[in-house]
Amino acid sequence: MVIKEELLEDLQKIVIEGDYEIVHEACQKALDAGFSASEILNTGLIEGIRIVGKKYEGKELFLPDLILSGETMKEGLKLLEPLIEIDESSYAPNIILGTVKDDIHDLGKLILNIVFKAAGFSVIDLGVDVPTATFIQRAKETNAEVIGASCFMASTLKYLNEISQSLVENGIRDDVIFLIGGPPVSKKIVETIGADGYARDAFEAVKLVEQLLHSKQAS
Amino acid sequence: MNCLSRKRKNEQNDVKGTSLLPKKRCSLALSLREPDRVPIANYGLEFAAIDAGFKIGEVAVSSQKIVQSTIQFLTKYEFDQQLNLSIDPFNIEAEGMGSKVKFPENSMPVITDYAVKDYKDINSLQVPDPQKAARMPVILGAHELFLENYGDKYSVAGLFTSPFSLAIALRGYTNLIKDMKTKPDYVHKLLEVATETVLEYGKAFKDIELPAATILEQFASPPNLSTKQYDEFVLPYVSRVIQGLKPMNITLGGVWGYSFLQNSWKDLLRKIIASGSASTMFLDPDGEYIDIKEFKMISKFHGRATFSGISANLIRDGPIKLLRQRISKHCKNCAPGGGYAIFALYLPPGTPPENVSAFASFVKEFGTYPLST
Repeated sequence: MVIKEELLEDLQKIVIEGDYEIVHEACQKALDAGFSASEILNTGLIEGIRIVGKKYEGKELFLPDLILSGETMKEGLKLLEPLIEIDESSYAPNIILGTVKDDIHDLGKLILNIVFKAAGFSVIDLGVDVPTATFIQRAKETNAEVIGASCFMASTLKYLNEISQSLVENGIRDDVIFLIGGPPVSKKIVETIGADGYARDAFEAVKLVEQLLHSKQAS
Repeated sequence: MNCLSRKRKNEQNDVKGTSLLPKKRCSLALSLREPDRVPIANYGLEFAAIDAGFKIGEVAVSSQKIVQSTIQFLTKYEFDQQLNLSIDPFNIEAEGMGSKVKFPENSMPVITDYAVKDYKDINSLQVPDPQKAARMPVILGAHELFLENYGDKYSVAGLFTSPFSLAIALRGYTNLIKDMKTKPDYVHKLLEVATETVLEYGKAFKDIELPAATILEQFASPPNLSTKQYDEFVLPYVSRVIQGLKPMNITLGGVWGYSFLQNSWKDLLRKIIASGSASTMFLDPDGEYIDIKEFKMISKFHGRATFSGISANLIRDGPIKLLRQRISKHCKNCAPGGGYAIFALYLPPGTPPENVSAFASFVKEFGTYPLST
C-alpha cells in the first residue's frame, strides 16, 4: 500500500522527470487520497519545479528538462486550478508576461513563466506577438504589479518603448514594475526606454522583481 | 627577375601585401594562412537594409535589394564579407514546407503557424523545389546576382538552416522537445524530411557554383539541448548534409552556449569538427568564458579556420573602449598564425554608424599582419 505522503513525493519526481503524460493521473490519485488541491500544487508540483530550477541554474540540467517540467506542471494545473480555493490572506504577486508585437519568440518567456511560478508568483502569460494595447488592458484588468515584456529581435525593440509610453499615457506607470528582456536588451536600452530593469536570466529576474517589490512596499 | 622568382614574389605579396582584395583575404584566412590582416565579416542584414534606405520587409523579398544593401554596406564600412545574403535565414525552408510566415514592414519575418501540428502532417510534407518555393528563389537569385556582379572582389557563401533547427521551425521548440521524450521515432521521421529539404536547397547553392556555405544550428546549442539529445537528434543529420553537399565547404554555424558546458566545451567543439564542419565558430558571450586561444588551437590542429563573433549589443551600445578591448583580446588570442576571421555577430537596427566604422578600424588596428606584440 502506498503511504499517503509518498504520493506527493511521486508527484515531485514526475515533475522533475518531466513526465507530462502521467501527471494528470497522479494528481487525481493524490486528490482521491484526501490531499487538497493546494497541498498537491505546493508540496508536489511547485516543489518539483523548484528542484529542477535550481539544477538548471547550477547547469546540472539543460533547457529541455526545464521545459518538460514546466509542461508537466501546466498539465497538472489543468486539473487542480479549478479546485484551488482562493485564500484571500495568502499573497501572490501577479506578473504579466508577453512577447511584443511582430515577435513570436517564446523560449525566454517560457522559462520566466516556469521560474516565476516556482517562486510563488501568479503568472498571466499573454503569449507572443502581443499588441501594446493588450499589455495595458490586461494590466488594468488584473491590477498587475509587474509587467515583463520580452523581445528577441532588435527590430521589435520599438514596441518595448511603445509599452512604456502607453503605461504613462494610461496613468498606470507608477502602479507597475516594468521589466524588459531579450537578447537585444541592455542597460542602455533600459535607460532609453525608461523601464525599471532587465535581467540576464530568469533567476536574476526573480531576484530583481523581489527587490523592486520590496522597495516599493517599503516606500 | 626570372619567372619563378617573380611568381614567388607575387605569392609573397598576396600574403603580406597591404591591399589584398577582400576575397583573397578571406580565402587565405580560410586556408589557415596569414593574409594582410584579419578579415572582417558581418552577419545580419537589417542594419545594411536600413542604411541603404530600404524597409526591412521589402528587402526580405527582393534579390535586387538584398544585393544593393549588401554592396553598399561592404563598400561604406570596409567589411570583407557579408555572411548572409538574406534578411531572415531562419524561416525560408520552413515557409517553403508550409509554415505560415508574417512579413512586418520594419522587422524580420516570423513564423506564425507551424506546418506540423500533428504527426500525421509529416506524411504530407513535401521537399520543396528551391527554384519555386516561397522565398527560396529570391535568396538563390540574390546569391547569383552578387556572384555575377561582385564575385571577383568579394567571397560569397550560401547560408541555410540545419535539419534540427528546420524541424523546430516546422513543429515549434516546446512541441519538439515533448516529442523527443515521448515520440522519438516521429522526430526522426521529421528530421529525415528536414534533411532531404536542406540537401535539396544546398544543392541549389552548389549549382550556382558557390564554393562554401554555412548551416545555421541556432537551436541545437547548449543549453537548448542536452549532450545526449545533440548526439541523437543533431549530429547524424548534420553530418549527412555536410557529406552530401561535398565538395562544397560547409561550416556548422550559429552554435552558441559553449560556456554552459563549462569544462566539457571542448567535447562539443571536437564533435563539430568530427561532423566535417569546414571551419569553427564561437560567439559572444562564450568568448568571455572559454579559453579562446585553446579553441583556435584545437581548430587549427584539425585544419579548421576559426571565426569569432563580437556581441551585437556591445557594437550597438558600446562603450567603444570596451569594444576596442574585446577586439584586441580576440585578435591577440586567435589571429597569430592566421586561419582566423572576426565578424559582427549581428548589427541591430539603430546601431550608430560610427560604431560600425569603429568595429572595422579596431580589427585593422589589432589584426594587421605582422601582428604587433
